[in-house]
Amino acid sequence: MSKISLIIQREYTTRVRKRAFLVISILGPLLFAGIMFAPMLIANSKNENQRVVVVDETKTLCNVLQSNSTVHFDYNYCSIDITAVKKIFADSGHVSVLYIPRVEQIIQVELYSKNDPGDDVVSAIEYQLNNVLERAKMQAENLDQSTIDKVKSNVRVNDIVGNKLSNSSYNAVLGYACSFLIYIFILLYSVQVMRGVMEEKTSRIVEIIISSVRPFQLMMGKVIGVGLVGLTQFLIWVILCFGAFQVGSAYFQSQQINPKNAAIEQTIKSGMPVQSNNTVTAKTEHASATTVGALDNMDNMLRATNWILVIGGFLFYFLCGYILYSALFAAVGSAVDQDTETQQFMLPVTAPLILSIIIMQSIITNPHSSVAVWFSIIPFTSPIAMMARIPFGVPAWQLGLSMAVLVASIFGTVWLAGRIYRVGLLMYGKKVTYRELGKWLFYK
Amino acid sequence: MGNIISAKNIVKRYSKHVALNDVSFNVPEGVIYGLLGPNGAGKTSMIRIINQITAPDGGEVLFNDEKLVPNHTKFIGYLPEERGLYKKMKVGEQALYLARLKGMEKNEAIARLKEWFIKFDIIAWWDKKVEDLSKGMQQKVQFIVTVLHEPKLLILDEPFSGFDPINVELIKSELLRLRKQGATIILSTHNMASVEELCNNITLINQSKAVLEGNVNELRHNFKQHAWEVKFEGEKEAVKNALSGKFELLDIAPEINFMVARIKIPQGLPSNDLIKTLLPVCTVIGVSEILPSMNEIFISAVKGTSPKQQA
Repeated sequence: MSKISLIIQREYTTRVRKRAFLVISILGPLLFAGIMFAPMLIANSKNENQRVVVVDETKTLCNVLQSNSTVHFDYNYCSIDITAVKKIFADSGHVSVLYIPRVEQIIQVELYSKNDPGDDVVSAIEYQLNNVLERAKMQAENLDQSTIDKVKSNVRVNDIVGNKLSNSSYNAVLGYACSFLIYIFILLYSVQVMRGVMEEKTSRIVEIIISSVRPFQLMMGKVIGVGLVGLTQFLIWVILCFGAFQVGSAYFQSQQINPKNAAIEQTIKSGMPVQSNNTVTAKTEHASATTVGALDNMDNMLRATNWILVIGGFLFYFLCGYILYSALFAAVGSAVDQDTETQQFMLPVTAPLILSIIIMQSIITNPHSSVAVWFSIIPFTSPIAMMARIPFGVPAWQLGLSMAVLVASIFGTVWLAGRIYRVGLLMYGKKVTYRELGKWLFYK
Repeated sequence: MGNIISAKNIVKRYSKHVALNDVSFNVPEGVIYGLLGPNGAGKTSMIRIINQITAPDGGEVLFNDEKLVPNHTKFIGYLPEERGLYKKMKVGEQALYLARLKGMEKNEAIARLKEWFIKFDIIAWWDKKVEDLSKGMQQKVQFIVTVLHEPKLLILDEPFSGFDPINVELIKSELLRLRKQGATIILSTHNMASVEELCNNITLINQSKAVLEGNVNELRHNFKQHAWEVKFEGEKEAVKNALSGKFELLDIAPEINFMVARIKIPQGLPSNDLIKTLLPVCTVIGVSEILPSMNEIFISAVKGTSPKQQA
């Protein structure tokens, strides 16, 4: 067996056998699943809605606004004096008082709360008020319900790129997820390479090892071994996440049919005025249609995505980005004696990573801007920047150029890092400056 | 027999200083060779060049008359001065890993490791983590790993540091046994007693230059002061008087039952003359020539070549 494969084997097995690896492998997907499903769970919980006590001086809106998952309207104080009501709920953190003053035309209402009820509550109230008032005005203009329904339009933009149905927001989510994963993986495993190098240096085993293998072999063995650990971890996550997603989406699909029916039943039972009844039904139907539609749409999008390109691109940019950065981190690890000294060299090495994650936000909203194109070609930012663009579709020449530049710069960077590494490993007890690092490049 | 290592005009420069300045020496096959010198003289740089950890800026090193190539590392066993092991790894596993890096086949390496572990009485620690071992035991593991692949050339930098006297003897006897089996050993140490005891030849490096090279016994004879130590019973003053004019009395001191005088004989005069002079005035118990210790040679050679200390 060649020496480098022995090193790879050791780096891999010692890490995979650690308890931390197992823990992260299992907790990682749980965490992801949690982040994905937590908002849905929160949205689905019915007890968490805000109680809004309505005080209506116009007497026209009592019992008209409908409670939903965000807001629970309480009409028990509808015709009581506002100052009295305000006093009653002055100390209640979970209750807001909606005050509709007596005016000709309602253009402004007040919502009094002890604690800020949040944007969702405010917009839910605005949405309902506007709907109700609009309909009232239209009816005042002698438009009947069927005419109102007729003039309502609901246009949907089908985003067709090339000859495929596309979805910008879905692509953005996919691009964001992929490039964020690359960012996390590069950082996580490059730092592991650095720690490994420092461990060898501070435990002083390194001189024994490099009397049998070349420092470059040791460095590359470590980079590759740790990279394989990363891939293994990623594979475990993909399998677990896929499983968790299947279970999760099955659960939510069964849940989502019910609230719609329940809402309709409830409206019919309670015998609401026709006008508002329609609004509610329409709205719940619309809401349910969006969630169910979203799932269908999701399914379509999943089918429409060029998975070979996305997965292939992900693996390529993950591996190349990782090698690029881990070589630099290895050089940093070799140049320092103590943990505390890593800071001065860590900053310039991590800066491009952080920059690209910041730039990514703008790339996702505008994937073909010149900023996006440039950053997806510059090697130190391209793994993250290009990965954010791939779901939107990237011209072949840009992808090819980006990949070629990245591979070329890997050779350059690894060579450079190797020069620093082999000298740094045996330097003890002195603080290294950038000038010195430069000189090391030319040592024989 | 030929030279296993020939260093020819080695130059090694770092950014701020010259570590080795035109250093040449030959290590004959089958000897224990001392590489001596004060701290910072350039010994470690020289050793790293032989191990191909760094490359010289000038000159070349021949291994069995061939220019050094990476493939030679499997014929060399190196125990660095600053040495350690992976703390979290198991002892046996780690020893096996290091042995295989030297190119040994797995099963053979395990078999030989077990033999050595039994010989050094650390077999019970095979499955323990390195961090659970005492420093001495770790040193034993490192020594075993260095010699396991039966290298032609062993390079040991301060091999006795960290060992108790019993284990120092154990290592010394192993070194002598290995030499008998044909290995050549380069020993870098500050322990001059062990140099006298073990080394056949030495090179002394000071201030980046080789200042002294040769056979240990020859060096001691070359550096001798023609001084003799005489043990006698009798009158101190009578001896002093008899010696005066002809010999130089260095010092004279009483022991429990006799006196000890150290006397320098002028060059060209046979030592018998000294005895003839002394016999009439005292009872001579013993006469022996004083050879300089390696310690004295080391100090005088270093002082003689260091401009700082001369001034």
